[in-house]
Amino acid sequence: MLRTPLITALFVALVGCGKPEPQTTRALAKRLPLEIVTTTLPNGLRVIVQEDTRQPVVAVDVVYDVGSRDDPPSKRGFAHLFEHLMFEGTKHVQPQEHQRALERAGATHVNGTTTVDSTSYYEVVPSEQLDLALYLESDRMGFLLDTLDQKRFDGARAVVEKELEERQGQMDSQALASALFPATHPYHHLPIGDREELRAATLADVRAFWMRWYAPNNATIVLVGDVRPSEAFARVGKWFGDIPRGPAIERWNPGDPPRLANDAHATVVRPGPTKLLVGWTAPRLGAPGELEVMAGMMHTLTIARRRLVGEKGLATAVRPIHTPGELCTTIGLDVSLTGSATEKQVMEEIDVAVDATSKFLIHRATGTDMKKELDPLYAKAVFAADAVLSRARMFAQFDKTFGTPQAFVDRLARSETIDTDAVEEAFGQWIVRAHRAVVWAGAGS
Amino acid sequence: MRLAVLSLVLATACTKPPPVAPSRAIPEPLARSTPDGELRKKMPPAAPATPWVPPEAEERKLSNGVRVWIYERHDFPTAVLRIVSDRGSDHASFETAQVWSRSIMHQAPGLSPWQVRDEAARLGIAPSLGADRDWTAIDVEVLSKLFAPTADLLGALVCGPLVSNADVKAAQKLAAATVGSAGLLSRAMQHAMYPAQHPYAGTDGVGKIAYVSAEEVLEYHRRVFAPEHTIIIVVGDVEAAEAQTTLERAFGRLSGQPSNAPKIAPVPPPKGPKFVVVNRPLARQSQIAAMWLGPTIGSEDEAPLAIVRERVREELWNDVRVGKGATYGLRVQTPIGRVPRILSIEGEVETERTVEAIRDIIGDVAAVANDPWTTEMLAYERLAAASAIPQLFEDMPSTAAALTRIAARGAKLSYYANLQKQLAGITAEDVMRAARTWMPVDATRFVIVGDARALRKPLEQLGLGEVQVVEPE
Repeated sequence: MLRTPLITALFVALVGCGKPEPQTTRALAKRLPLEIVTTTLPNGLRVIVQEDTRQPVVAVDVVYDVGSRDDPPSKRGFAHLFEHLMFEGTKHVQPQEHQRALERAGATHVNGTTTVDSTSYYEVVPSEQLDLALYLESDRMGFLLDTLDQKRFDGARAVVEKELEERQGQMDSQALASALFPATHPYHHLPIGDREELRAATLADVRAFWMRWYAPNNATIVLVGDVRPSEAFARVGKWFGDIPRGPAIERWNPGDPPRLANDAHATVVRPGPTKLLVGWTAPRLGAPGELEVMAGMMHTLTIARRRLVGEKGLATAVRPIHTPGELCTTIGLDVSLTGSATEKQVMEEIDVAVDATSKFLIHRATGTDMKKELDPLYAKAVFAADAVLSRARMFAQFDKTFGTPQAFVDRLARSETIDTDAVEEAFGQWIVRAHRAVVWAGAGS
Repeated sequence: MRLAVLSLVLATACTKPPPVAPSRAIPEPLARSTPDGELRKKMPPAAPATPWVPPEAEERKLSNGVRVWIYERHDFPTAVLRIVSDRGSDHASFETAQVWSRSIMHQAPGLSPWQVRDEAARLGIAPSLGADRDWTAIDVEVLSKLFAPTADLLGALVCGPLVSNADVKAAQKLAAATVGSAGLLSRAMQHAMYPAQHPYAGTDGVGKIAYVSAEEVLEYHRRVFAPEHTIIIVVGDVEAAEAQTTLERAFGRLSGQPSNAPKIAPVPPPKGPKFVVVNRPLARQSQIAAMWLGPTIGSEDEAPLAIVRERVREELWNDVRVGKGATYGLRVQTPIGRVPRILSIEGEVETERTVEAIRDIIGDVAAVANDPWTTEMLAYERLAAASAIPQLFEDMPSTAAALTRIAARGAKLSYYANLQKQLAGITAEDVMRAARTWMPVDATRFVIVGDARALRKPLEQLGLGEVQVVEPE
C-alpha cells in the first residue's frame, strides 16, 4: 500500500520536476563505453548509475565520507571498527544475516573497506536480487542503532583485534605514515588503528559516531551493471528515500601536503622478509603536479629496479608506493631485499635512480615522451574499469574528490598528454632528499 | 607472534608549523530515526531472473595444431591472452614447475632480459605464470590496440625459450622463499593426502628447489607447451580472423615433444595419522584443514558436490565464526580436475577453540550427508551455486580464467551451460550420496598448523585417531 505512492513521488522528484535533475555525462562514451547518470535524493544521498548489460549482475557500492582521518581523538581505528559493526545486524536483520542472505542469493564480493578518507560497503548481486542488496544497505544506514548492544560491539571489536594481529605488513606502511606526517595531520595514522585505544571505546562513542557520519547526506551509492538508470533511481528512492538527513558535515582540511624539513628514518622490527620503504608526500589526487610526480617516480622505479634487482642483486623486487588521497598523496618505492643488502647500499642506489631521473628530465632530448612512464598505470586503470565492482568503486572515489565520476575518464585522458616540462618542475619540487622518510622493516635493525 | 616497533627515530621538523586541528571529539548524539513500515518487515523477494546465455567462444586451429578459443567482446578496449597447457607439474616435478614459473619468459633469441622488461613496460603488460598438477598457463591482459605486439612478444618468449643459470638461481631463491613461508599448511596437506614421491604430492623439501637445473626448466617448457597440449585463449576486443593471423605469426612455429606422462596417476587411499600438527609454538590461532580426495572431471557427482559445498559452508557459518573461534568463517573447496584433488574445509580459528571447531566440522559434514534436506534448503543452495556461474564471465580476466579451467581439464566449451542444467535437476538424494561418497566423516584427515603444546592433548582426547606432531622445515 505504501509502495506505489512513495515510488511515484520519488520518481517525480528525481526525474520529473527537474529539481535534482539527472546529469548524463555522455562525454565518457567517447573514450570508453561508459555512460554515467547521477542524481541526488532530497535527503542528500548521491546516486550514480551506469548501465552495463554484459552479464546479469549489478555491483552495489555504498560509500560514506568518513575514514581514519576522522577517527576521534585517542580512538585510532574507530572508523575501521565501525565498518565491522555494520555487519553485526540491524533492527530487521539478525547478526551475520546480512552476509548470509546475500550469499544465498548468489552474491559475491560481499565486503567493506576503510581507507584514510572513506568507508565503503559493497557486493555484486545477480540483477534480480538488486532489491535485496538495497534493502540490506538501506537498513544499516537507517536502523543500525536500534539493536546495537554491548555484545555485538564486543564481537566486532574482537574481529578487529584479530585483524590487528594478522596484518603484520601494515606495520611498515604505518611507520612510513607516522614518519611522513606530523602527529596532528589526519594521515598520521592508518585505518587499522591501535588496540588499546579501541579497547577504551564505549557504546556511547559508537552511537555518537553513527549519528554524526552515517547519514544519507554523507554518503554516495553507486550501481553499475544490469539495471536501467530510471529503474535504479526508483529503487534507490524506495529503499533509501525516507532515511532522514543527518547533521551538516565539516571535515578538517589541513591544507597543502606537509613536507619534512629533514629526512626521517624509522625502524620496524617484525618477523618476515626484510623491506625498505622510501616515501615522499606529493599533491593530492587530481591536484596540479600529482600525475607529473607519479610519472617521474615511475621513471625512478625503472632505474631503481634495474640497478637493485638486475645489476647489484640487492633486492628481489621493487614496487611503487602510490596512495593518492583527498588531502595528499604518498609516493615512493617499496623494496624487498635480499639477505645481504644493507640500508646504506640500497639508499645509495635509490639516490642514483632519483638523481638520474632529475638529470634525464633536465637534459632530455627534444621530443622526450614522459607519457610512456604512465602507460602501465593507464593500462591498469583501464583494466580495473572492466569489472563492474572496481568500476563502481572508482566512480565513487572520483565523484567524491572531483564532484563527478567523469573525472575518472578525464584523468585517463590527461595521462595521455602529460608534459615533460611539468614533470621536471613537479619532480624537482617534491622528490627531494630532505623531504623523504625511510623505513627499514625486518627481523633485525 | 607479538610484534614490536622498537624504534621510531624521527629527525623531523616540518617546513612550517602544522595547522592546528579543530576538535574532532564526538559530539552528543542528535536525535534521528528512520520511519519504519511494512516495507521492511521481511526481505524482498527476487525479481524474475534474467536468462543467462553462456558465452560462445569460437574454436580455431593454428597450422601447427595448436587449438585457439576466441571469445570476442567489444564492449571494452582490452583483451586477455592466455597460453594454456593441459599438462602441469605432474609431468615433471613440483620443484621444476616452481622454478619454471619464475625463470622462463625473461629472454629469447635476440631479446635480452632488459629488452624484454622494457618492451613489457612499454606495452603496459605484466605476464603472470602459473603451474599446478594438471595445468600450466601464461596470462596477460592488454589494451586491445596493443594486442598484436603483445602476442608477438609472448610468441618470441614461448616459442624460443631461453633460460640462463643466473635466471634459475634467482628463481630458486624466490621459489624457496615463497614455498617456505606461505605454504606451510598446503604442503602439509599434500603430504597427508598423497604418498611421498607421487606426482601430485608437491614438494617434500624446499631444499630440492636448489637442485633444479636450467635444462630441466627448458625440458619442462618444451614438453608442456607441445602443440598437442596447448590451447590459446583470447577474450576481448579483437576480431577473430585478425587475431588468428596474429597468433599464427606469433605461435605458429611452436613445437615441442608431447608429454609422455600418464594422464592420471592412481592415488591410493591416504594412510597415516588422523591428525598432523605442524608445530608453531605459542601461535594464538590455528590454521586447520579437514580433507578428502575428490573425484575427477566427468564424475556424475561434480554438480551435487557444488551443492554440498554451499550447504556445508552455510552450516559452518552458523557454527564456526565470530565469537565462536574463527574471524571470517571457514572456506569449503571442492576442486575437480583431471587428477584427483583435495576437497577441503580450511580456515583460521583461535587456538583454544580448535578442537571445538573440529567437532563442528565433523558434525556439519555428517548432517549434510545424513539429515533430511527440505525443499527450501535445496532450492537455496541450488540458487547459490547456479547464480555464481554467470559471474565467472563478468569481466575479461575472469572469463579467460573460466575458459582456462575447462581447457586445462580437457572439457568442452559447453561445460558451463551443461553445469547449470545439471544443477537445476539435482535432488536431495544426489547431494547426500555425493557427500557420503566423497566427504565420508570417518575418512576425514586433518592438518593443523598451530601450537602443538596446547593442541596435542585435547586432540587425543577426542578419541578419533592418532595425533602426529611435526616440526616445520
